[in-house]
Amino acid sequence: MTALLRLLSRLGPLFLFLLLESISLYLVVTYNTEQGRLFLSSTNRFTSFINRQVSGVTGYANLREENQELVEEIIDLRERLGNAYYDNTASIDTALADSSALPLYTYIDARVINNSISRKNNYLTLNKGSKHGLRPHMGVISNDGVVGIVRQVSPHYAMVMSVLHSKTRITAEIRDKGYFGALVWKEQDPRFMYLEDVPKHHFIELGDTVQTSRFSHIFPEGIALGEIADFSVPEGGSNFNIKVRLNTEMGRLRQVLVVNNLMSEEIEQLEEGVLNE
Amino acid sequence: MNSAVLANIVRFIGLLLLQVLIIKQIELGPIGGSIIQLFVYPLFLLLIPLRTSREVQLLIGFVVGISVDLFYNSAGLHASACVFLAYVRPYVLRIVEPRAGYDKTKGLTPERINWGWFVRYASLGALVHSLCFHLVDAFTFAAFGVILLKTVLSVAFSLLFMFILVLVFNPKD
Repeated sequence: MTALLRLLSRLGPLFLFLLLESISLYLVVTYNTEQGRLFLSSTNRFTSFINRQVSGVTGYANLREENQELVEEIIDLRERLGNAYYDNTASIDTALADSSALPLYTYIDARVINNSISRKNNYLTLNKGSKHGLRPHMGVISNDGVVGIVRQVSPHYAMVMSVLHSKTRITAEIRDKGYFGALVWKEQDPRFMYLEDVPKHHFIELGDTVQTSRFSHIFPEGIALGEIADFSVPEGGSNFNIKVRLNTEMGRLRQVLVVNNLMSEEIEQLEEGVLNE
Repeated sequence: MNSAVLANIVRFIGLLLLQVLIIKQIELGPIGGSIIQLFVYPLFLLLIPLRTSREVQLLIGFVVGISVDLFYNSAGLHASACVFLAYVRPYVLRIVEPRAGYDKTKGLTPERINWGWFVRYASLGALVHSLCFHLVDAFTFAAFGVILLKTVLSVAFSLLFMFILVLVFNPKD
């Protein structure tokens, strides 16, 4: 070690600076590119231990808030139960209603143990992994909207590409109007995303709800993502520039649900088969 | 092991824990929904004793950066900013050099020199670190306005935390 240090000191600080800086930049490029592997450091034993402790403490600190959210969720779910509806139909084809509905989405709950919102490409770490049935490309949602997409899994942890990522493109549509486009994150402000590709001849209004699209097989249809906060037509452009205020406060995420599409393999195989023809 | 080395090790561990346990939560929570990134650990690099050789300073910078990266899932990002700060620190020191020059045996603290000098030194140092961090994070010179805005906000808020820390602990060396 001393010999190495002596050698380095003879070559001078500049050489050492260039060496260390190249190592750092190499790491940045290798681990932070879209196709590159992700730096799963938050899943190693030591840092994940620390992260778990922190998430335990902050979990306590947020119990009241989380309780409130759970109560609201329960109310919401109860309202969706069959017995919460007034039966207004004269006759129901029960055979059709019961046997034709196959389960499509199941959910796995998980806790966020690492999160970032202020970088250009943000990721979250969840405390569930392949042992709990998580796989890459699964969607992740919270009570208030979409959180991201699972990128990598280890046996006990998963790395999620946050919606606050420069490569995010989520198919979304405007509720009740059906116009769809791609939701992207452009301005590096964690409160807003942009809905692109909606032609300017459509009729939209401020406050319209933006929700997940029926064309997605990562997220169930109809999850509200946010509201239209502002829109304009860029000069010479043919599409709206729609600014969407997100419902989810990305920095405050604790509990999330991972969406498991039971038919995703079938859809992917089908689509790949056609594309490869 | 002399007391200065020990003090620096304690400072390193303290600032690292503060950064990854508390500051990281502040970034996400109370001021969450903002683009501000807070850095308190550069304070450690700024306070490394003058007599430390430049090579050791660079290695320390790398170790500090990688340690923070481990917790931020950001391989190399903090490390590159820290190594850069460690490399340009002598030039920063020359720019803000007081008329009487530096005493190599004494610490680079407001207690040993003065607050006016330290504010200039820390501001310049934090600016170098933060600008490098945000440039590497964006990995492009496009959207330079956003990078500059993030840098200025980060520096302003980080300095606030750093000055409070120095006021409270009032380190001599």
